[in-house]
Amino acid sequence: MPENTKLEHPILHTLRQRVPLFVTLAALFIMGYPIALLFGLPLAQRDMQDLRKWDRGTFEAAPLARIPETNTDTLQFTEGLSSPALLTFANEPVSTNYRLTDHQLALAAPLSPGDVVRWQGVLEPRDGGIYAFGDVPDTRPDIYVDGAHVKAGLIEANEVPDGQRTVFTFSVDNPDTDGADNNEAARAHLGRLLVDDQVIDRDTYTVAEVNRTTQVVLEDAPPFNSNVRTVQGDYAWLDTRRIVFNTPPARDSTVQATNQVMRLAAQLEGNLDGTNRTFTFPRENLLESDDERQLFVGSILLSNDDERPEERVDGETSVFTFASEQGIITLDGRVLEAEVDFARAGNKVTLRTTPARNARLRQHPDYVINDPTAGEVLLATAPLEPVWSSRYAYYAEPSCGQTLMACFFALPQHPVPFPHWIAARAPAFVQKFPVSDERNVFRAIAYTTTGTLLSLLLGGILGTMLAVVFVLVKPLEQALLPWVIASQTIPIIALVPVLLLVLGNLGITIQTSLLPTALIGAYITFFPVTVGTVKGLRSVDPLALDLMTSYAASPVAVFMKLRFPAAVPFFFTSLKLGAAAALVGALVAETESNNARGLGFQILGQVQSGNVADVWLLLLVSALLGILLVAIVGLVERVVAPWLTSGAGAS
Amino acid sequence: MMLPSLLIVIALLVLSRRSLWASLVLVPFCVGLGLITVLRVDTLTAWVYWLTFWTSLIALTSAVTQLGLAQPRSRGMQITAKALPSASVPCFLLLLWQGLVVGFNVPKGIFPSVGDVVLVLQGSLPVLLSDSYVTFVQEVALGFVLGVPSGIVVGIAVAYSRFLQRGFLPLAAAFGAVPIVGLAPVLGRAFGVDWQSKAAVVVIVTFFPVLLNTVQGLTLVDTLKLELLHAYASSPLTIFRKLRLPNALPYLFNALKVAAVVSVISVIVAEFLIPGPPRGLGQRISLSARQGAYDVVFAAIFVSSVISITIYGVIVVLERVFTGWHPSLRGEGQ
Amino acid sequence: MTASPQARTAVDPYENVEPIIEIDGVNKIYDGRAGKTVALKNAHLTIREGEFVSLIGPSGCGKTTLLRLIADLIQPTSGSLTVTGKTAQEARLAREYGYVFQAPVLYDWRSVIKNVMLPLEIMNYSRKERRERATRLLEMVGLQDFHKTYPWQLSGGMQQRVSIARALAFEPRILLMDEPFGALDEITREAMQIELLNIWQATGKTVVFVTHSIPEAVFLSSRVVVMSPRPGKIEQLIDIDLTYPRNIDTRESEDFFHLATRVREALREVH
Repeated sequence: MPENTKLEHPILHTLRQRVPLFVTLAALFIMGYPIALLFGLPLAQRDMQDLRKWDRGTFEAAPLARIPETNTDTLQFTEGLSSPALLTFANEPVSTNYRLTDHQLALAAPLSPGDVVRWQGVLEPRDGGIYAFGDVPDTRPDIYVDGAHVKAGLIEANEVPDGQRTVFTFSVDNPDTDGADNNEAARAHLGRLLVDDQVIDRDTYTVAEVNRTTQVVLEDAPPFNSNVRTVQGDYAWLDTRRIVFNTPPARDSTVQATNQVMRLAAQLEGNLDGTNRTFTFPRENLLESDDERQLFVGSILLSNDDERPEERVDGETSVFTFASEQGIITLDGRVLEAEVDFARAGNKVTLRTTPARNARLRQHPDYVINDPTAGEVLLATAPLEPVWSSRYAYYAEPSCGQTLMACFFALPQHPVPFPHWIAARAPAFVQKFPVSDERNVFRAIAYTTTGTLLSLLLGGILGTMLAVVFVLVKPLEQALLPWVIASQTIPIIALVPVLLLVLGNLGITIQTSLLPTALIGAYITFFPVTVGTVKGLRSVDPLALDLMTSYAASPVAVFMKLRFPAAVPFFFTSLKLGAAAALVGALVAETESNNARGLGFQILGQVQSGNVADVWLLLLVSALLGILLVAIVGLVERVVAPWLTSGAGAS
Repeated sequence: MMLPSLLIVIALLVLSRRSLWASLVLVPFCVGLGLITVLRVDTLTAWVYWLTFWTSLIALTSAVTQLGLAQPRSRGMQITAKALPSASVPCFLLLLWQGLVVGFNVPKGIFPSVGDVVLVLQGSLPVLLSDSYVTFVQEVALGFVLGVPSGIVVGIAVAYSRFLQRGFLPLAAAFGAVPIVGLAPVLGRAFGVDWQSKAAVVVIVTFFPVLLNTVQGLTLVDTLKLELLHAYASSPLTIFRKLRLPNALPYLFNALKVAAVVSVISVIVAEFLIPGPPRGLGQRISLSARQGAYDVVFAAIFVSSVISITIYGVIVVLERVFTGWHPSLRGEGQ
Repeated sequence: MTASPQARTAVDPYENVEPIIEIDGVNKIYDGRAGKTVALKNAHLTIREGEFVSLIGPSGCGKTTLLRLIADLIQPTSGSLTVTGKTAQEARLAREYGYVFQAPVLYDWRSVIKNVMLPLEIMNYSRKERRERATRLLEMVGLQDFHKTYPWQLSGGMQQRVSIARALAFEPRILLMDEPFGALDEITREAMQIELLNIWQATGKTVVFVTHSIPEAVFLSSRVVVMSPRPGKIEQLIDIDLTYPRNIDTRESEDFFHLATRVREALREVH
């Protein structure tokens, strides 16, 4: 028979007892992750699929990278094309044999410099690396310095100047992030700083690499509503006439501008057999409405317009007059077939079925994008020359990220944040408001607790009084008790708004008063306390009652010595049951009354600001508060009735 | 006409000390007198109004008390004497409400009278019923259907696992204290602002009481009853079917009663807190309160109370059918 | 005193009958917060089929412990127990005994007849068989008019009778009874004792009966086992050779009085 081992240390024993609890807490913590994903991923999915939340890209025909100085049969472009490319010059396709490999074009026959570029202007240097045109060009041309193409670029600071701010950050991709003394590298990478469209002196600001963003501290705060920008790339446009270079070109460099230079444009795919009218852009997800889209057939620029009929679409007319005599008819975005859906007589169009009132009827003279997602375009007439575009905009990729998980993490608000995020947020949350501010979370807890305890006290007293009346006057109990029980099913919380408004009308300032909380909570606890206390007052042992009778005790004495003590456990049980419900009532009352001092207000505020992690923390706080309240009631019980929980447990 | 009625009341009042019949007659008489008084408030002078009003209420109270103290002999009289006081309570309260509001000429915008509420009920019943449909059928019923069985299933799992009992049960008791005030908006974000989030609130609110009570009912079994089955060499499944399950039914019904009440309240609070399409009684109340249409508020509260009392009643009836054998229902305990 | 059989006044009628319960050197020790409690020390006992054996002694003498050991509701710390030739556990699984507790332990949610049918349901008797047996047994205990009543509508004595009927429902060979009449008043108790004897005579079962009432032990049993506490052990075995069937008159006979006195003295010795 095995000898019994010594009983283990009581603390260790208690800890061992609690192991399943810890394990379950840990399990719940871990479960928080899949739950967060469960709720967050569908939202991320939605973000990824919503084209309106995608980053936009713009295709522009790539100009020559370097203007040749002599005849040449190889041309270098600033970008390569992955789709069929078309060599163009001044918006006309260049019909010559060539082979394109990435950026480099190999011509069958050499071209002279004059064939590939026609200069439109020379820029004159001004002070501070600024160059200016003599005459204002019509459209922004490409700039070449000594025959080499230079890139334009400008980015804005992340913050808007408000007249006092002097610190601005820029989101620039900075490869050097090795800490310490790379401020010079950061400054160099940043480019020239423009404040309010003026170039400012290097000495008037400092640059530092802070938290993976480039931070600039200015000496003087820029005026309200001005702008703070930096030049990215080689130069940037200051206004319609002037550009500023990051690194000014050498004194003797030639800075020239042109719109007419050889470019690589994108050719649209599609049969050029004279009957096919459908062509596809190289990229999908076109912007439906793109004013700057440039689509050519051969050297003719197609018009982007759509025409409205002269007549109103009133649901009865079928004959409409348009400005042009040809074009594609669309009804509510759907392309109508000639002969099938309508008949044309010049610029008059007769529709087979009368369009509904206020339907969107348009004629597109040249072309219409009939499937932007696929990048498909329908031309009015079948072309025989190449269809190409020198500029169009498209949705490039979801702005939240490339993958679902990236978009998940980029969500502005997670319905269920990851548990460790909530945990990490805790210290910041607690310190959000200083203790002197009444919105401090601990003060709010204290306030709400006080209110709830007050309501418990009130409800307890009223409930006990009514219970005593019930026990003394039995007919009253018989009449009222069923209604008391039934009233527990009435959603009294629904009356909170009414109660608050009535109190307000009576002139009681509720904003900073505990009264609504106390009343609601008292009402909620009052009924269970009554029912429970009645049961308790009646739960007396009939033999004990007989004993009292044999002492000829007065009814008051019977009450005090016998009934009340018997009722105490029932009273406290009901009070504990009511405590959690009273807390809910208190929180709702605070929410509805906008009482800034309470916890309910805090919760509402965080919900409205969308700080989900804070909401979860507050939830945790409220749950703990509920437990705390029950514990307080238990404590009071132990003080008032020590014989109940004296630990003299049987068996 | 008022003064003769007053005299009759006083006469009956005196008689009622001796005769049970006087009390019986007095009750409807007072109710009637009170009704007429409040309905004809415009034709009466102030002191006549208040005199008849208070007299009828006091006489009503007295008559009811007399009835309660009486010891009638015949069975029919016993039932009447017991039922009448109960039935007269709502009459008393409604009369009091109407009498005070109308007597002090309280405008509808500050506090509606019973008549106002009744008018709303008459006129807007279809709207209120469609609101109730959303609230009760979609949100509460669905939440119940999801929450109760899951509570039972998890309860069975916890009851049979020592580990879960020590680990999960204290947490479940703590979670039950989480106020929906904070939970509702989070659920609104997760499930959208329509009825689904409110149904989710009901699921959570019903789950915990059902879980806790199921565990209690399955585990708090008389040791001797267990030993009896051990003596019959019963398998755990047999013990479950023959002992634990029937034993747990009273606890389950207790939980259902609590759940029914709490879920109605929670649904309405959830509708306050999750702004969504204005369907559902809670939203109706919130909206009307903001517009100052308190008569609609009370009408909606009335409708929701009627429905929730009916649900409660149904559960009580089912409780009697399934657990009529339980000591609390067979009249034991003093 | 050692546990050796004393002065047999007559030839043991069961001498040639097969033993149905054999208890050999059984110990039961409980480990509690206050240290070890020896509930039963080195118990030796042989019970033969058809006997009516009472276990009597003051509280703490281990009589209930012994009964529960036989029933395999608890297990011995050491020693061996054989019931109908099998181990206690096998005997329990083979449903060789019926147990009657101190309290009736009826299920509130089942009517009287359904309570009697409970073991039959568990042991997979057919519906017809269940009803037949239950009806027969309720008649045997005199409750044939109370099939559909619920336990809480019956008096204590009637409830206990249902409990006995239930224990007999599946006709086990052994009946183990733990102070079954303890909660009843004297008059009912005496009537129940006579009924129990009738049942025992009619069915020929082996009965092991725990009691703390000397007259009850002497009236019912063919043998009385006297036990003592601290530690619990078997002290004496006293044969009761009063003739069966026993009735009211037996209680008033001189032999009864002498035997009762013997038992009382034995108890006093070891107390």
